[in-house]
Amino acid sequence: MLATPAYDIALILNQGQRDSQEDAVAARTFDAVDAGYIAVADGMGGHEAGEVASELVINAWRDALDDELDVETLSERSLVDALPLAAMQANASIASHNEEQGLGFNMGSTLLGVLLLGHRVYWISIGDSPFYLFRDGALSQMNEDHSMAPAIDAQVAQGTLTEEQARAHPDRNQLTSVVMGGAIPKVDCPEEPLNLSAADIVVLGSDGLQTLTDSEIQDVLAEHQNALAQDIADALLQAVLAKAKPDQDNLTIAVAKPNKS
Amino acid sequence: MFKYKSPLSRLLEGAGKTEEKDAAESVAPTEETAEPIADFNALRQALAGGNATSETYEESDELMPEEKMPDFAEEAAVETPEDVAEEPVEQPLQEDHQTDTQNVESSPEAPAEDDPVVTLRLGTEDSVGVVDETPEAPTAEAEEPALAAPIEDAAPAEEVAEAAPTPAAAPATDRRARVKTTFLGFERADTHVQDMMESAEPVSKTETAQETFPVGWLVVTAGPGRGASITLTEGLMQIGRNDDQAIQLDFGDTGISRENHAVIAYDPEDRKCYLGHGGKANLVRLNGKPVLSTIALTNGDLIRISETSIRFMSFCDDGFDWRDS
Repeated sequence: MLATPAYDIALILNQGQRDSQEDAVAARTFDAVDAGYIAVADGMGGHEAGEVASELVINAWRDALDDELDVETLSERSLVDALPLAAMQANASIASHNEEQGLGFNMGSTLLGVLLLGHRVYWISIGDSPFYLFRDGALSQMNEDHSMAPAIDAQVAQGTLTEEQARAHPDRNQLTSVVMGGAIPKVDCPEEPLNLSAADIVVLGSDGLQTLTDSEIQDVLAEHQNALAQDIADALLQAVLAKAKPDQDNLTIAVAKPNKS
Repeated sequence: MFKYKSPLSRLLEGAGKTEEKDAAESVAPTEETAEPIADFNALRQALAGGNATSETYEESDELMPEEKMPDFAEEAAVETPEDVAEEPVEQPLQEDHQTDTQNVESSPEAPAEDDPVVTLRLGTEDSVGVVDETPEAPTAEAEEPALAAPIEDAAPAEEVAEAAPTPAAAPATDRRARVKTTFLGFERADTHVQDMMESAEPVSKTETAQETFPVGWLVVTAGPGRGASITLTEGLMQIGRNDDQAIQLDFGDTGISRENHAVIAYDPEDRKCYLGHGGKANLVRLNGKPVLSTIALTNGDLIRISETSIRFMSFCDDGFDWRDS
């Protein structure tokens, strides 16, 4: 029997208007065990440190997950445990890298890791890389946003800030949790998975994708929901580029659809 | 089980051959329910009227409360031939303790035993005496929850309760169970407290009274070791399976590392306990979330390590610290 890939996955990495690409992304499917993963890391730190940080995070993720998934029969429990263990490993490698560079050297990265297991979706998220679910025409962000953005948006809701002020708020991209070799104050890693249905679309990104508002992303997905993952990803990229934002951040887009079987 | 081989049991076994088991076991529960003084009375009576035994024995099976005394009579009577006044008088006190400890342990095990129903019954009665739930379960359900809440023995008692309805083969045992049931029936409302008091006795025995200066406790609520509790003290406490671990979780969950799977430390500065993971290969969850850095614990927090769930209860907090006085 030929194993059909369980998921249709597309990845796009775009540098935007920045001098370097500090985002990193990885995906892999394991058809034998009906599983797959996508990981996004958005690095930060001067002097190319951001690139190093995001790469360390992606490497730690792959090491932890590949070991669990390159097997005949997988143990769901230890596989699910591998998500936070990957984060701990990533944090440890960043810590030791910082140590090698000497005092005062700092770098960090977000980690958004999604594990697809049949129709179940587990994730771990540290930082502000968004994880969206498009279902029945509606887009919702599934993971916590570990930046000041939620607090700023709350002020809009209270009426102390206008929507315009909030969008341009200087602290908007200030992170409240990140993988940087120290304490990780917040982690979003639910024990219970999200159950995916056949028509769902999963979208991961770096915050560069949020040049588009959620409703703009939703519009693009609604328009292309029956297209292949790569076409959906490309449509999102075009929508971001169409904004022609002068300081467009590094941009990562990952789209996954369960293959109809 | 070995527990039943109390000195008194052996005594009784030697004497009452036919009913030896029943007799031996019956003594324990019956006495243990009653207060020490009652025991003495019973014994005295028993010693006095040793003859009446065998008849009462049989009849009492089907009879209710008044048979209690005859019970003692009969059992003690069995002793009388062998040992005179001295022994029995001493025994009851010891017996009380022994049987008390039995209650705690033997009740859950009892159902598993292959031995004659008799043994089974023993477990039942024991718990009846201590926990006081078994008899009520069938009779007055309304009261059970109220009891179950305060008394920790609730779980065992429930198990026993299941076992109770089934057997009833041995007449002798039947009688004993009833004696207690009815005894409780007389003053059900008040006996709760009294029974709690009585059940508290064995607890104080098993826990050695030490000055541990606790800052909090961990209680295993699910998984291997369910029901175990650990006192948290100041300093860095490592969690692991090895016996050099301050928080040793060696109940059969091999998913827990031998050492330093996680750590708990009390910070006297802010009067909180903190939970941290022990290393990058060890996962511990707090209220469902993986612990990636040191997190302050709050009362009632649920810690999960491998298959083991543990609840944290704080003792030292804003309201109290051992440095206060």
